[in-house]
Amino acid sequence: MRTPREFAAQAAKATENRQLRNALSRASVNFRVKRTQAMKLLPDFAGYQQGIRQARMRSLAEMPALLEKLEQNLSARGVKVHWAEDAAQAREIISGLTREYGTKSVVKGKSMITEEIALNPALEAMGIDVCETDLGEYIIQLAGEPPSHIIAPAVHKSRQDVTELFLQKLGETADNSVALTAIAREALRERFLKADMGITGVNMAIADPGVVVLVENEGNIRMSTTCPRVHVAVMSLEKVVAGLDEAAAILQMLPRSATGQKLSSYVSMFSSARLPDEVDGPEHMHLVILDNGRSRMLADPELRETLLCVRCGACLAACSVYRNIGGHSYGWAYSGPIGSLLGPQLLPPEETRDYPQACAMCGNCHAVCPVGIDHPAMLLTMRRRYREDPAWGGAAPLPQRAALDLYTRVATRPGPYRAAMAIGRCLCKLDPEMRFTRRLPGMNTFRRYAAGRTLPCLRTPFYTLWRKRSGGSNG
Amino acid sequence: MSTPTVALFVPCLCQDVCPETALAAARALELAGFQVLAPEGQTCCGQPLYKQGAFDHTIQLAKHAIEVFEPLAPLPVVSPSASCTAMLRNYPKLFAQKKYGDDWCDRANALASRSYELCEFLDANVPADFCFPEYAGAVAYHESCQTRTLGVGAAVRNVLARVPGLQILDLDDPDACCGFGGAFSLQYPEVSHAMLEDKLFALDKAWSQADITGDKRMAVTAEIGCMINIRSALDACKPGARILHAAHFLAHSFEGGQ
Repeated sequence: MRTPREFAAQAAKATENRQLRNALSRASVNFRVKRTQAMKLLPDFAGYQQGIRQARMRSLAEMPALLEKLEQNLSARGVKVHWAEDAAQAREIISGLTREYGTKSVVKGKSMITEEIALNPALEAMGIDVCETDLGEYIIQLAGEPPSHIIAPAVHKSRQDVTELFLQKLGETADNSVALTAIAREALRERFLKADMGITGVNMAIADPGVVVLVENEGNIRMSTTCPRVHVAVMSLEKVVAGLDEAAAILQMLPRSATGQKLSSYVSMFSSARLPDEVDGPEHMHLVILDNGRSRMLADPELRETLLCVRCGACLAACSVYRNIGGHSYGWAYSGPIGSLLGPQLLPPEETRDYPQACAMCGNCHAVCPVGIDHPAMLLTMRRRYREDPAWGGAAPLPQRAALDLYTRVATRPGPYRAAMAIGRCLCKLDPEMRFTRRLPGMNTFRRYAAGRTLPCLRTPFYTLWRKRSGGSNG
Repeated sequence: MSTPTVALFVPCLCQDVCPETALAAARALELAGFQVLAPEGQTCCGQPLYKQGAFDHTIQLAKHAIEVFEPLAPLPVVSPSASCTAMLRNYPKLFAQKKYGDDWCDRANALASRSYELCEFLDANVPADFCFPEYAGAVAYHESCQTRTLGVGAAVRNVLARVPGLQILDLDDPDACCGFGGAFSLQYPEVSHAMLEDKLFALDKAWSQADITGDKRMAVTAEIGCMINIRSALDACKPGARILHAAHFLAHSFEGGQ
């Protein structure tokens, strides 16, 4: 099983998978082209961006009060609201509900939060039949894999992969996407009818008037909330928004930023279970509000803005690292730039040392983020903490610290700095391209770096050339 | 009237790995009518430390850089690297964070407010009808991420457009990173290689679509780090193909690299 701790090795391995990289490149370019087109159609892009950012900032600033109001408003209409401090509590609450209702079969709408709390294995261990109903999620559930992208869970699978998978698991297959989708649809229809509980995530929860909003394209989430007699929605604290204006500001940007759509095919709003005079909807509705590290994040002024995220996935499509290693390399539910920010804050920091390091600081994630999250700046903050902050697994290793101290001492003194470069120049002459050095023990990573490159060497320094040059002046 | 004068910020990678690029930058500035001073004692702007989150160490190098350029105030400080320029502009934030006193914060602000990336400076300061020497040929353009994040992407194109005959070939997926990222490329060599491989593929495509082969394959970027990174792979995998900093095209000086 892949883990965050093994990120470096998993990422290195993933780069060997040409098919994966091609699939991700295609998807990334596709997402980005669509997003750019959709954004161009907005008359006042900056205004909309300001709108969504303010909506999200307000929900962070007033979170405790908004959550209380949300609970009040939903409870008044008979929705049962549960509070979970961590993943274990959330799993306990939901398992409790399945016992209470005698649940045998669960259908799920696509939800990353239930990946975060590892809900499926817990329910399956109770003998409950759990079926993912988002097409991508359904595919990877059949394959026994976790999602590799927050909005396109099976983005790493080719159509050919799916053709083979369906034959193996469903005994029926096809060679084109339309027919494959029809097969999945047929299989899923039975599950919807059989299920006695639907479990979904939440895109946002509007405190006033108390509405849970779900955004999707396939209609499977709406079916998961209407066919079974019980609907359980799971949200993390920061999904709450103040009112309808804030919700509208987010809805203007979320689908555009995610898939380049003006609006997703379905936007569902739930404010209660079926009321006495209504003909459809579930008999019971529950909302599980999960902290799982969010209140700690909220209390951290340097990293708090991570909570602004609306999970559109634009940063994944923009990330040159993600597209070459895929989501599975992260060994965790969330991947790409937003996963790198969430990991060290939600998991024990020592598990995720690699996440903030594995970034070339190109800034593309920040540039496309609809709420203006500055991922690179926060990743730098994390790098600092991993180096200095005892709460983040203590200090950098001694040799690394010594090297930095030495470098700083030398580089603040021009004389020793020039002398060090002169020594470096001699070493370059003695060992061209570091062909000997790279074979030394402890140079394993450097050896891998140097493979496939012609290394530059240190040359006659600029100042020597500058002084020789007629008219060259040193101020 | 005396000749307008600028101070050249020489990135550490230029000082000892690609000195010709700093010379070309100086030449380009001179062609545009500026006298160039290159104060001695320059070392490193601290970016490699900053990117590792070693902010206290970075402060030490920032103080040094501020001291080196202060005697030349208020001359503009011009650098052929967007990432070094970005570093200089980050100094005030570092001093503010660390409460090193108003004095250092003011001095950092003074340096930050007069620091410019080469193309940014030229674009804003050369006369409207000014042209650099002619270069006859098509060149594939790698837009560096640091150029983009500093907001000088348009300036680079504007300045290269002042080179008569120079035709820019755009790359597919132009804002994909080339995989350098300083320490990143050494920490995750395979991932960096994969990104670099994508970039070489894009360069190849641009060249072949323009029917450019062999020694005519030329690329340009305005960031010294990208140049060295891409060059290391071109030299190993595509002999004959070259990448040079924009300064070389402005100065019509093509020494360095092969």
